[in-house]
Order: sequence, then C-alpha cells, then structure tokens
Amino acid sequence: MTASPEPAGPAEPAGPAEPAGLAGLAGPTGLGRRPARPLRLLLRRLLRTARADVLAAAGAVLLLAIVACALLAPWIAPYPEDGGTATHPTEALLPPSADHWFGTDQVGRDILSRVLFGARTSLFIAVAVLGLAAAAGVTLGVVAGYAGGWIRDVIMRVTDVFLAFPALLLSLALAVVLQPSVTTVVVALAATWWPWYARLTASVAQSVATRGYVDAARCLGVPAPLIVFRHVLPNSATPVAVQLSLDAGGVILTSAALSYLGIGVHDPTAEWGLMVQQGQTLFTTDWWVVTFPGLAILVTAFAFNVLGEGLRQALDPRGATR
Amino acid sequence: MIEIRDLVVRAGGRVISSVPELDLAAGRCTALVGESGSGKTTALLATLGLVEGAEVTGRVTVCGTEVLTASERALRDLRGAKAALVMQSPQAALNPVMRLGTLMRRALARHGVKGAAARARAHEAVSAVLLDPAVLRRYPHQVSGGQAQRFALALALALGADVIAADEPTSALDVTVQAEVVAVLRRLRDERGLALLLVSHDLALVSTVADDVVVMKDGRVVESGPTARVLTEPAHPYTRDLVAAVPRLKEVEL
Amino acid sequence: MTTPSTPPAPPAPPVSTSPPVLAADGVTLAYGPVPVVHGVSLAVDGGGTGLIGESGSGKTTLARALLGLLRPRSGRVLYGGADLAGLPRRRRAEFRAAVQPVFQDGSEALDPRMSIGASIAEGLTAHHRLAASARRARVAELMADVGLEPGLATRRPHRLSGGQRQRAVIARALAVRPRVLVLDEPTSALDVTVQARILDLLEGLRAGHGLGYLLITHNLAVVDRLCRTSHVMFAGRVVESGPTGDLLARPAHPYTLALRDAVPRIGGPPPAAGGRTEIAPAGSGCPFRLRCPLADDTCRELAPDPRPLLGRTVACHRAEEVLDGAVRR
Repeated sequence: MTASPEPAGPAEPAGPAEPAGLAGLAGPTGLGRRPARPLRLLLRRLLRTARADVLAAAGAVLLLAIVACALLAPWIAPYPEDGGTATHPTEALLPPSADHWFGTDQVGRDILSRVLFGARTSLFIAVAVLGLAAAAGVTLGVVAGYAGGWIRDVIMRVTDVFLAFPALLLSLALAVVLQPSVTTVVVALAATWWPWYARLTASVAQSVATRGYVDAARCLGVPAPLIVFRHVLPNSATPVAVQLSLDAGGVILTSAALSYLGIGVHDPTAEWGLMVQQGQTLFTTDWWVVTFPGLAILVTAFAFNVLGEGLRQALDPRGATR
Repeated sequence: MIEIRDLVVRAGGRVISSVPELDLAAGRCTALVGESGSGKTTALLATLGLVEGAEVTGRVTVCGTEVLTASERALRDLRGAKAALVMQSPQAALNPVMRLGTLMRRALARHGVKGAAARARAHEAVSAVLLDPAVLRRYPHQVSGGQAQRFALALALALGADVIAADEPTSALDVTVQAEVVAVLRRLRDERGLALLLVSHDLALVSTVADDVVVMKDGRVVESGPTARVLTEPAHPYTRDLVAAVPRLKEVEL
Repeated sequence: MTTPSTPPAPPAPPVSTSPPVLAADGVTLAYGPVPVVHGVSLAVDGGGTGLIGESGSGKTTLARALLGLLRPRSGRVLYGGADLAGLPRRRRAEFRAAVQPVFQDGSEALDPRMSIGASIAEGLTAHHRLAASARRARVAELMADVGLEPGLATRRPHRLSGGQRQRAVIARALAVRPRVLVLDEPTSALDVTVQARILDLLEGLRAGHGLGYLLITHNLAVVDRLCRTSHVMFAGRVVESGPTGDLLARPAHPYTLALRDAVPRIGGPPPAAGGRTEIAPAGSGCPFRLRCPLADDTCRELAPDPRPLLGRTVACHRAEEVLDGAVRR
C-alpha cells in the first residue's frame, strides 16, 4: 500500500502540464498536498471505519460478551454445578435475590448459572447449524450459479423440493426418527436451512459469473474450479455472510422452539429454549423462571441481527459507507 | 433566465466547483464542458439549488428566483415548473408502473391543468419533441432511451418550463438517437425560446447546440465565450488539449 | 485450408502465411429461439478490423463467440483456419492465450477484490508455473508496457482512475502474449483526453507486439484511427463492409451513411437526425426499410443479400443510388 492519500482520479499520468498561469490559482486543489504520515492515516481510517460501522461494531461487541459468557461459564457462574445435574429441591422457585440474581427454577437450580451454561448450547447450535447449512448451500449455489444450464436446473429443483417442506415440520419428522439430542437439532435445522443459502448464492453467483473479470479469466484459460474459487466465491460471499449473521438469531429461536416442543435438547442440559418451555406454566406465579432465558434469546438474536445489518451496510461496496 | 455571480461550492474546505459569472438568456444555450471531476455537474446542480452536503456561496438567479436564499418550497415550485432538470437516463426516473400519459396528466393536474386542456397540452408537448402521441399509452420500459429522453423534455415543456438544465442528456444514447435528441434541443431553443443549460463532456456534441461554452477543469472555469470562437480558436492550453483529443473522422467530402 | 468436411487438420507445421488468426464464417448466434446475429463472416488481421454498430446490433454477442465464450448456433469460428469447435486440446490451449478480450469499463473488467498486480498476473500462472519473483518482474514489465506506475500494483481497482483501469485490463490481456485483442468499446467510458492516450497506447502496442485488433464500437472516429477494414452491423447482420476509409468517405449503405452523418463534428453542421429508429420485423424485406429514405416495394418484400460493389460488400438493393448521393441530408 502506498502512502499517498489521494483517491483515484488525477493520478492518470499527467498529459498536458498544468499551465503556469493557472497553477498559481489552483491552490488547494491539485498542488502542494503532502502525503499524510502513515500513523495519522491509520488513525483516520480507523475512525472512519468505526463511524461507518458503529452498528456492526456494537453487534460484534455484544456478541463477544455473550461468547465470553459461554466460554467462561464454569468459572463465572455462581453455582457451576447447577448447569448440570445438580438439584436443590429445598430451594425451588426462589425469586431473584442477592444469592440468586435471576432466582431459581422448579428444582432449585440457579437460573443465572443455567442461562450462562445455556449460552454454550445455544451458540453451539447456531454455529453448527449455520456452518453446515452454509457449507452445503454455498457450495451447491456457487456451482449452480457459475455452471448454469442443466447443472443449475438439477440443483435448483432439489433445493425447491427441500424448500417446499415447512422447516418446523421437517425438523419434527427428523427429530422423531432420530433421538432427541443436540445433534438431532443441529442436523434437523441444517437440513431445513441450507436451501436458502443455495438459492441466495446461486442467484448472486449467476450475476457475478457474467462480470467482465470472469469472462477475462475464462479467456486467459484459468480452469473453471479456480475461477469459481478465486472470483465467483469471494464476490458472492458478502450477501451470504450477511444472511448468516441475520439468520443466527433465527436458528437460536427455532432451536428453542424445537426444545419447547420437547423434541430437542432434554433436561439436565441447560438450553434457553428448553428453560423457557419448562418455565412457561409458571409465568403468572414465578415470572423469573421464563423471563431470564427468554431475555437471553432476545439479546443474542438482537446482537446477531445488529451485526448482520452492520455488515450489510459496511460490506456493500457501493453502498452506505460512501 | 439564469444569472450566476461568484458561485463557489466547497466541500470539506476544498473548492469543488466555481463559476464567477454566467448569463443565460431565453432562446440561448450555454454548455458547461469538462472532464470528470471538473465540477461541471456540481455547478449545474447548484444552479437549481440541488447541492447537498456542501457549502454554496455567491448569487444565483433562475427565472427571478434567488436560488441560494430561497425557501425549500420556493425551490420546489421553481423546479416543478419554470426550470426543469433532465438527466442522463430519464427512464430510471420514470415510475415503471405508470403509463407515460398518466405520468404527464398527474404532473399537469398538480399545476391545475385537467381534462381536455391537459390532454391538448400533453399532445402538443409530445409533438413538439417529435414524438408520436401514441407513446403516451406506453409504459416506460416500452420506450427506447431516446424516446424517454424526449418525453422528459416534453414533460418540461408541458409544465411551462422556461429553462432546461440537462446533465449529459445524450451520453447514454446511440449516435443516431443522440442526433434526434440534439435536433429536439435545437428546436426547443429556436422555436420555443427556451434557455438551455447543458452539461457535457462531448465537445463535438456541444459545438452543435451551444451558443456559448464554459470550459471547466478541477472545479474552475478556464475559458468561456462563444462556442465557435472557443472551439475553433481556443485561447487556453487546456481547451486546446481537449479539442485536440476529440477523436475525429478524417475529413470527408460531404 | 481444405474442404470444410475434412476433420481438423493433422499436426501439420503451422501455416505461416494465409489464414487469418481469427475469423468468423457465417456465424449465427442466439440466446433463445430468435437469433441475434445472422450469418456474419469477418476476419481479423494485423491491419485492424472494426465492427461498428449501435446497442442491440449484436456486435458484443459476436465478440463473445469469437472469444470462444459462446457457441455458434450455426457457422464456424476459425482459429488459424481451423474450426474452434473441433480444435484438439493443445491447439485449444493455444487459442486460449492467442485471443484476449479488452472489455468496456475497467471497474467491471477487473475483480474488485483483487489487487491490480494480481489481476495482471492471472494469465501468467494459468498456462505454466512461474516463480513468484519472475511473476513480479513480468507484472512490472507489463505495467511499464502500458504506462502504469509500478506502485499501483498493490491497489484495488476502485483506487484507480478509469484510464488506469483500462491500462490494467490491457496489461492483463498482454500477459499471455496474445496475437489478437478483441476490444469491446475500449474507450467509451473515458474522458476524451484519457481516451486519446489509450488510443495512442493501443497503436503503439500493435506495432510493438504484432497484434491484430478486432475493435467493437459505435464510435466511427475510433474505428477510423485503428482499423483498415470495417464491418457495419445492423440488427444482427453485417450490412456493409470494406476499407474503413472508403466506407466513411462514401457509404454505400444508407445505415452507414446515417451513422456517419449523426456524428457531431466541431465546426461541422448539426448532426442529421434520421427520424425513425425502429428495426423492421424479421421475416421479410430489408430490416432497415422502416428507416430508409429510399425504401421501395422491393425493399419491403425482399431482404437484400450481401453483394460486392466497388471493393466492398453491401447488403442493399439501392446501394448504387446511395453511392451517387441519392440520400440528401
């Protein structure tokens, strides 16, 4: 990277020299601008990026905090054993207090501890589901979009078949066939999520495949897999990345719904959806049992959404950041 | 129709466009020419009070309205009737689900012209730009770029514009279509007495419509005067370079 | 060349003389059921070949076929006299290097996520391995050839001016030592002074690298400068072809005439407006008849076939009258 702060434009090798008479007038425009020192430049760029991406940054910070909670749960949870199989029947359904900030549940477990441990399960589910779905969807989508023709038709028809099933119903069916567990939830959700990425990626890749640089690469004799990997994939990635972060909240909510329906994670495991499900009947009498895990879902979904929206604005090459 | 004195547009402390003096009378055409980044489009937008996010100083009078001090409402009235802006690709600015006739009728209704009077006005304006009145029954995507551009001019005409400010009105068009739009522009100037303020990078095109040219570079006017004089005997070295760079056909017998 | 039915030539010694590097032979192209290019034949040689037409004339589609990006519905694209469709693998690879595009508008022609240097180097590694240091040296050499400062190699396309981007696109094409460049509106997005310098560059490169140009443009003046031979396309057909100078000085097809007279000229008369710009419906008659001031019953009923006339080929029933000045401004 050169140190020149000048944007593109006047750098075209100057044809006619600026006439002397005019040079005197041109003052602040063309002449006499010293390149700024790299440090100042860096600072300025950081500031500008920060301002442009405040939204993304806020989402990222919030998310980092949640991830930190998940990772550090065994150490920061006030009653780490409550994240697992421990029960304290004598302390059941205590309201929030200095000892139990979020209160306790039906079997006397500290809800704050379980919310912290629940972050591990919920975030794992989100990352695993999106990872699997994106890997399958993006691969198929990029191939469909670049190849076109019958390859595209076959991939898209398969995708459509999957899309035709209501997501929750397909998950239910899968969960019934498999045993209820975290893995089941992940597989079931990934199976209903990937077609969306395949669709999105295919449509973006299809338009990227018509760009001049892709044609140029083909004319240079670059092999097709390399063209896909080098040009089509990176240039189709932005909308997918944004969609992923927007979907993360949705995945957590859907996995919560599965738990809520009783076919996801089961009891000793701390998971937010499950906690909400178990606490719902108590809402009128013991509101804290359902409220705090519910809030955790809400905040996490919100964090992912904010990050996604921020990313969308920040990564849009000709968009808002101009 | 247009009077500009000491117009300066600054953004971030830097002058991005300045025009010390420009007078445009009815039935005349002045062109701002220059390359990208010369500030010609900014000058045009400033003339209609359309520059945002920049500091604009000086005095600009368009059809009797002091543009730089006028209220937003007065500016809207000015732009809606007396001074029309025509852009490079008008198709993008036309509502795609509305027939051109509906579009024109609505615009006229806002000015209190309705019914048979509106129909007559629309037909008259469309004929003035050499379009078949049948285009009024078409949707924007059903007309060509040249037809859309002429419709934009017709719309301005129907609303009673005295001034048309056009930003690269033909640079998205094929050369034979461009010729038609140029013919229409000349007609509007000569037969309707409209004042045209034209922005273009195409010196050859400008030479066929403009009475006067203002050559801009890096936000400043380097030369101005009657088109014939400036383009055939350019005084400023930059103008000379510009003229020399115009690709031309070898002299052919005509 | 032998008879068309002979299978692709055996590994004979490369013919050094007659067949042009790149040619189209009766090429018809279509995306859907309706052809957009009808039976076009042309050849690209060292003198430069111009393909003139307005948007929708099919010239860019034809260019894609000549680059091997689009398979002809019928007719053949010839590389060194051999049909592209039947080229053996090794000759195909040779074609892939020999014919390179230079597309319009540098920002879309360059990958926005790659540095200029990486874009230029793309072709260097596509055909054979090259050490990183050798690659860098070659990129620097190519950048110097097209007049780009070496410091720009690390920049992304959006940090370059339009003219610089177009130079980078040319450098990328030159990297594989092509014999033909297919230039699709190489200067139309640029300011005039920049355009003039790119044209200078193209003229210099042609001499230095022994390149043949196929120049696709609507700008007659650009063709006039770079091409000895020109073809004028209208509605997917070549309506007139011949030496560029003759074509522009004395058009034999009314469309060539309309194109020429529509070009504004400094100090010249106002450009001539043709009136209508429609293309006549396909099927019968001359496609230009709705716009032609000379159109008569023959033109309405019978599509004109291309025929030789005064050292050129023209598809017009009344070309002689056009040559004699029957169309007045």
